[in-house]
Amino acid sequence: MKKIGLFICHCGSNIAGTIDIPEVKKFFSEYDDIEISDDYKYMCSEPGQKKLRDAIVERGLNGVVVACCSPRMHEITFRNAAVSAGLNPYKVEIANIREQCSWVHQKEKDKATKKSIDIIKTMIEKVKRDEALQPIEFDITKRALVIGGGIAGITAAVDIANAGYEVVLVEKRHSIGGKMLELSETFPTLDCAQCTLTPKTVEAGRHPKIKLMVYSEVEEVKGYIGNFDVKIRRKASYVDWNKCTGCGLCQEKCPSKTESEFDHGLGERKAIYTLSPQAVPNKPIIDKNSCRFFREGKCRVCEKVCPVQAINYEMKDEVIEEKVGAIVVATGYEILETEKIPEYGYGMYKDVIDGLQFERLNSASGPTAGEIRRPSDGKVPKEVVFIKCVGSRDPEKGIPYCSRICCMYLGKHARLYKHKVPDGQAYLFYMDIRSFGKGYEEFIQQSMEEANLLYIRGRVARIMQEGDKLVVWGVDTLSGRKVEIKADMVVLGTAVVPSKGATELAKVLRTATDEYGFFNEAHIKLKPVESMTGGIYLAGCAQAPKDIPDTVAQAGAAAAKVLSLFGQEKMVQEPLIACVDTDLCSGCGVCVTACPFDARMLDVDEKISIVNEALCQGCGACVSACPNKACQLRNASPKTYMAMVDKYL
Amino acid sequence: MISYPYFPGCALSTKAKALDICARESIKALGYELKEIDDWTCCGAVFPLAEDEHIRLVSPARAFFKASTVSDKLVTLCSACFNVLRRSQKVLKENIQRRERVLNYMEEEVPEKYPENLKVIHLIELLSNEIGFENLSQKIKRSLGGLKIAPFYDCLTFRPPKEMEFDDPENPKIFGNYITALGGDPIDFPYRSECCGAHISVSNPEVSLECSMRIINSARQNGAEALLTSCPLCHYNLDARQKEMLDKRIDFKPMPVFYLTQLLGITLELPEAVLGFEKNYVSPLPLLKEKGLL
Amino acid sequence: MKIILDKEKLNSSYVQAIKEMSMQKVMSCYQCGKCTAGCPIADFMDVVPNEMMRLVMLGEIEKLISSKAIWLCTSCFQCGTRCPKGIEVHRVFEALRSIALREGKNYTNIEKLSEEQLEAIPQQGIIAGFRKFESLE
Repeated sequence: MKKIGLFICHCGSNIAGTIDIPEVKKFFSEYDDIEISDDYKYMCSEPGQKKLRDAIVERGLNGVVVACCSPRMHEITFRNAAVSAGLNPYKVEIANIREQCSWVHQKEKDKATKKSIDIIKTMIEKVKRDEALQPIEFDITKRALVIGGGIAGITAAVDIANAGYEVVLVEKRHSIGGKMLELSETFPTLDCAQCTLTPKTVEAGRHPKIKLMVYSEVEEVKGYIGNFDVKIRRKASYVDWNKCTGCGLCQEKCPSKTESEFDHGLGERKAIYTLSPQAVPNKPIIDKNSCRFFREGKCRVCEKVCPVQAINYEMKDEVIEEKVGAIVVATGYEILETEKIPEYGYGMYKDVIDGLQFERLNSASGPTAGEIRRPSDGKVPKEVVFIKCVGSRDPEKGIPYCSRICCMYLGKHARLYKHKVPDGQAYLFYMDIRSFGKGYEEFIQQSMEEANLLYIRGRVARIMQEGDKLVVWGVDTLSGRKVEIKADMVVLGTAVVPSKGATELAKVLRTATDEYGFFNEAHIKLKPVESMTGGIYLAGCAQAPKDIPDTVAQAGAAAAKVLSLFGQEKMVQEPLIACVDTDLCSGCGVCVTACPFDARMLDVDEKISIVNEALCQGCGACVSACPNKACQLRNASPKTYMAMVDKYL
Repeated sequence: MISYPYFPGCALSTKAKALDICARESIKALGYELKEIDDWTCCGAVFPLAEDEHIRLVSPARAFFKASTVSDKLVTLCSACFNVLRRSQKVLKENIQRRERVLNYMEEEVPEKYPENLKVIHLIELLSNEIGFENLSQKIKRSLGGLKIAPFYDCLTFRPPKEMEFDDPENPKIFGNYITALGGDPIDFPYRSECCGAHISVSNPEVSLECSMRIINSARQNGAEALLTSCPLCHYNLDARQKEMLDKRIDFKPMPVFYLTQLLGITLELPEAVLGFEKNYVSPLPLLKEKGLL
Repeated sequence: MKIILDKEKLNSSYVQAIKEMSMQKVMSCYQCGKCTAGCPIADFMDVVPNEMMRLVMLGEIEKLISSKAIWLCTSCFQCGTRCPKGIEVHRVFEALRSIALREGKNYTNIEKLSEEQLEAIPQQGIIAGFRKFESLE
């Protein structure tokens, strides 16, 4: 015999203000299979839950319907309450009478009351047919993969490794450190970026639990939370790193030069090169596009000078397979191609540079050894214009969002410029000054006062080369005047965009990105480091533009999420997944192609379809695809749903 | 011989005759024909920006009906006509309600028969897309011999970009490519697309003189020997008003301003009477003679 | 001089007329000023383009109709081409001119044009001039 308890929540006035709860309660007090019909002001409160627990024990309930808010909110609360009173959690269902009833029918109270009764009726039918299910358990591979070796990836990797778990750290370039290693000094303390970062890169490079895979890219990911199978392509470096001692002789003697990516085109590098003097690992690669041997078939100077015979022109890419239980995505950012804003003349005029180029100009390891000299003629610029929101907050030509770091780094640039060129003048065009972080507002105000920076509220429309000057047409909206500045150099605070390949990586990981290509978090407020896919976590600018403190904080949070997963004995998954009626299945395989999670496959011997319980997310795609109605979702069979609909009609 | 319906407009029929005659004769020399549509009326010269002005679209609509009887293209050349006609066609094609309001003013033309597929094209599009610049450089009889010409990208031909859909207004290339095709050396200069002052030379001649003067100076600083424009009003501001610039600044050096089609005429060796240089205030003849182009 | 704001003023028939005639989302302007920065005539204007947008938002339409700036605009469309919010600022200028013309306000007298100018200025210049500076006296 069914003994179902119904508990109606007032949700303060959210539900009770629209629905006539005493009437609903009365209606169900005499209803078939209902043992108790009760109500309470806040069912989710401790006294509310106690009502439910007590009723289960005292009345011997074998099913519960809670009429309240969306199951997304408190289904888990009431199922846990049921468990503690000895009832199987899958015998508890939510009748959503708030989002789907009281909130949308505030002006038609009678109809709302009637509709809430209908909703509860259908859920009673469901509970009557619900089976007691047991959660599914799996083993966890307690190893992590971190994709991206910038400050975010390094932080996450070191945190996980320090807890005693192995980490595979994959980096696209041939040494770790990412964008932060390219920076000169960082706001708001003006610490040297390298000095802050290199202890971390060295730690990551030497950590016994971290397997560093640089010059590598993730190519394929299969599996699921707790058990991922990953294929990683290690690109051919043409240098045997096991032999290479990092002596640097090859780099010194290499006759081919090309633009340095690390210096953003302001300096040169050799065809065989390490990324920077502090590279971790300190091993070179040969860039085929600029190597004379690869282009013209002769040279081999590096081979001749290498004292340990590490050069290998025959080297091929390698694909390495790894098993991990969790993945941290820390793929970082790029800046918008400034050529998209041709009115600023980037790419046309040598002395119009972007923020990362200025970082290199100001860097002791940069192309000018830290002296501020402009690219065109090497002169020290005496009038420098800094422009914020270049491409950011520009829905027409760039991206609509705020890039979050430009206000601070351009303020920093202007101040650093004044440190090095005390008789120079810095102008900053801004729309708003967004100095939200700890110590940020003070930093900006101090810069204005001490460095005598002129902040001009307005945007720039046009930059034109006239002789050796750059004529900047801007506006000062505060005085209502167009302004013109004959500058020696212009620095653009260009928009932050996702790193190239982020969208492709998201496809490999079977997780989602937003319309700009940033990885989507599972919930913008409550799950900011979880991706949309279980077991994959996000850190740093891969998720959205952010500064170094926020990046490090998020990377730590991502590591903590990985560790809380690894801290569990077994993986537990909801049993509300697909199952197969073996009598009905003909083994046609339609479900296999319909499944977006690779959870379906054919059992060749039995000639029927089976479900990988770990991969199945219970989406129901196979159910609607199956021509024989052999695929079903547990506790959501067509029979149950027909019964629910019948009750409603 | 392929013939294109052609809308010359008022200025080209009177004050900018050289632009018109060179166009017709050059196109003929290339083996095509510009056939003036009959009984056209002034395009209105200014595209009505206010949404509730309908009657100003009547003249363009008439021209479209006429052109559509012989072709799916209507060629024009004057920047003002091009701007008005191209934008009018976009509105009349996309906004059915406005089309009906406009056609209310007309007797024979009915909304059902509206030539939606007619495309208003600039002569330069005829040269670049229909004939092709590569083909054009084969067909010319004489190269411009590296003459340094600064192409001036006027407002009306290139903007507003969403309505004109013509090249990239911030980084225009089409006139430069045209100069290259004719054997000239296009000079890029910062003021290539800054307004010459346009019609405010009527009410505030001083202001527009400043605007025009900085364009010429900028072209010269970047090494140009001459300017190119396809707009009669720009030509007035940039050429005729050099007289005032000379009066105003002792150090001002005059610079010839070619019409788009005059350059084509030179390379096709059209007679001097057709080229119509006598209408240019700053005569290009000394420069052309110096370069051996006449 | 202070501006007194209230909802009647912010939604006056003038403001409505400008929004309708220009078809522009005036309220989406965030005052970056790029229109002014690139305006070839802003050097000579008494009210620069971004200020004009602001005054429309504040309902100060009369001040704009009596400004010189609306007549100095050359309709070069540079403001609208570069606006990051996609506002065709030039259409707002035109709406203001249209209102002024319909109310019989004008800026210059066409009779002041010399024979020489009439002879030389191409029709588009004169027509654009007439249209904007129509003498209705």
